[in-house]
Amino acid sequence: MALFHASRSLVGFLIETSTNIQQRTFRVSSAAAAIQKMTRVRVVDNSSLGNTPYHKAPRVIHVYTKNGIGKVGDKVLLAIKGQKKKAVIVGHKMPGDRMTPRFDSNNVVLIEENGNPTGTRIRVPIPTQLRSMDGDFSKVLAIAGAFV
Amino acid sequence: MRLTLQMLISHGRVARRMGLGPESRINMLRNILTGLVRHERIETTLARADEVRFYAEKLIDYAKKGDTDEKAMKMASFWLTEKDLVPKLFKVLAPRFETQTNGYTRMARLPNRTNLDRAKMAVLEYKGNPFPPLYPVKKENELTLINQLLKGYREDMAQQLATKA
Amino acid sequence: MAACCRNLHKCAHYLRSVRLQQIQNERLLSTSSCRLAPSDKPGKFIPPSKPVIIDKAQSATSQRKFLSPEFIPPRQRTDPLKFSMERKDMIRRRKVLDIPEFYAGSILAVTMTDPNANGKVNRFVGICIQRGGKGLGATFVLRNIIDNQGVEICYELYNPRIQQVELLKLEKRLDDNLLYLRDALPEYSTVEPNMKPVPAPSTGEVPLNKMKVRMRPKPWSKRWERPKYNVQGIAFEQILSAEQLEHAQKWAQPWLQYDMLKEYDTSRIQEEILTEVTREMGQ
Repeated sequence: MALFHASRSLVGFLIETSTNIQQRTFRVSSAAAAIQKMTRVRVVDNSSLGNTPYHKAPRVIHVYTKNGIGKVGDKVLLAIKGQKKKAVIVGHKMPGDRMTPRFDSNNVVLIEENGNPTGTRIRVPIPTQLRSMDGDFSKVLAIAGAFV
Repeated sequence: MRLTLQMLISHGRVARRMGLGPESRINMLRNILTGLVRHERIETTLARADEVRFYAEKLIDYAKKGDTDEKAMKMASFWLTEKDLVPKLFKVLAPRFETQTNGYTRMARLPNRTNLDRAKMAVLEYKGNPFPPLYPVKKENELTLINQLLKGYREDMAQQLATKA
Repeated sequence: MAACCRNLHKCAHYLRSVRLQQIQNERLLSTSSCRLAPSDKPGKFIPPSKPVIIDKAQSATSQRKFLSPEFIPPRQRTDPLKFSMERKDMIRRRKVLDIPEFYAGSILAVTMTDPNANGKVNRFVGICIQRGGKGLGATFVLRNIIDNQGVEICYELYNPRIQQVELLKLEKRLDDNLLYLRDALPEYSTVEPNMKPVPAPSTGEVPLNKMKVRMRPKPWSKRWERPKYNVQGIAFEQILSAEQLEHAQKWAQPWLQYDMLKEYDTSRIQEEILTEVTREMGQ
């Protein structure tokens, strides 16, 4: 009898989880506007590392700036699929200066240690202020699809 | 321009915090304003009188729009908690101030309260009420000593001028 | 289109006759008229310049009176001289750049120079979701979804980098601030980048779009159901339960609408500034 009850509750639990996955009734905090340590980011190039699904979203574990806040053009260190990888920020949720775009997600492009991008294509528009920034972004700009 | 809270209040920029919160403040001012419309002269603490003065003047501005105006009627029925005062506002007070555009009220200081605390007290009234005036009316009496002396001096000067000419 | 072509034909005919006359009368060929006249080859199609429809039947009085909201000074103790000086500069800028009448919910296309790439311009089409700022610092935010990525740009209305502001669709929405489109389904903020302008009536009321948007599931950037935002343009019934909607009313402040201290009556200021602006723009 107890076994029967346990199996019924298990079935009920399974049904519940399946509806949860569809509806996502639990809450998650929204992504931080400024990019800092522990910010979840979205990889927007077509590299295999950034696009294969994984149970944890990529997180920023270090920002290579003086104040620890990452803006467009700053380099960050990501924890992605259990390994460390460098990336360039190409758009964030936090509004920047006037006349510059603000994006709905925190976008990064993965780069190798020598500064070359890992992927060969960027799927989302890239802010144009990246062009005039000092630092070598010519490889990143070369694989960009669209500019805003 | 940034001022301290006291300065902002004295410049009419922000409201005082009084009562138990924003809603309580409005309800308190409603009750005081209802009393003011009923009695036309009331005695409260200075802060409350100063705060209610603004609303008392604005309510007259709304009343001047007439009782057919929807917004004016809404305001009057909110601010006057006793509904028998609504006709008085539109029929008595609004015609009384038809010639004026502002300054419908008068405020005067009273001595500080002594029985409860030492709160600053004030009296607030609508102008043109039937009560005796708040400020003493200037008396023009010919027979005071100074007026008599001045009169004599003026006559002397007039005589001197006449003899010179 | 047919009417347009006919007009163009008529225009070309007229120009040709003018040129002939000039040659006959003065033996002098104006280069500008020559450039304007289309080539006589019938096979080559020349796209007609944008037809400017000016209805002579409508008098100036029947036109809709409109004052851009950034002309109205905010309620504060700043010297009014500051705002009158800024107004002068704004009018000078408006004489050079045609800034159309638009509201939150209208679809605009903004062309601005790109200082990051030499000699290039940047055109962005989007729905205006917010207008902000007073005086020369007035801004508006355009939103669009490009490649499944929501992009917003906050433009300064009087920035000299702006070359052209095109009004593609004149429309009002139920709210003055459409920031909730960030949390709505993406189709509500998606605009076709090469959209054709929809002709708007210059008289009468501005068309009001009473559309109610559908939202994504709940973690939103703001709690839009709270009475503080007073949002009308969201279909709350589809996403929130009746209890949730009732619970949101806990934060209602119904006394605020009766607080006369909070009122700012701009109707008289608006009229004065409108007459001043129309007089200055006419000069």
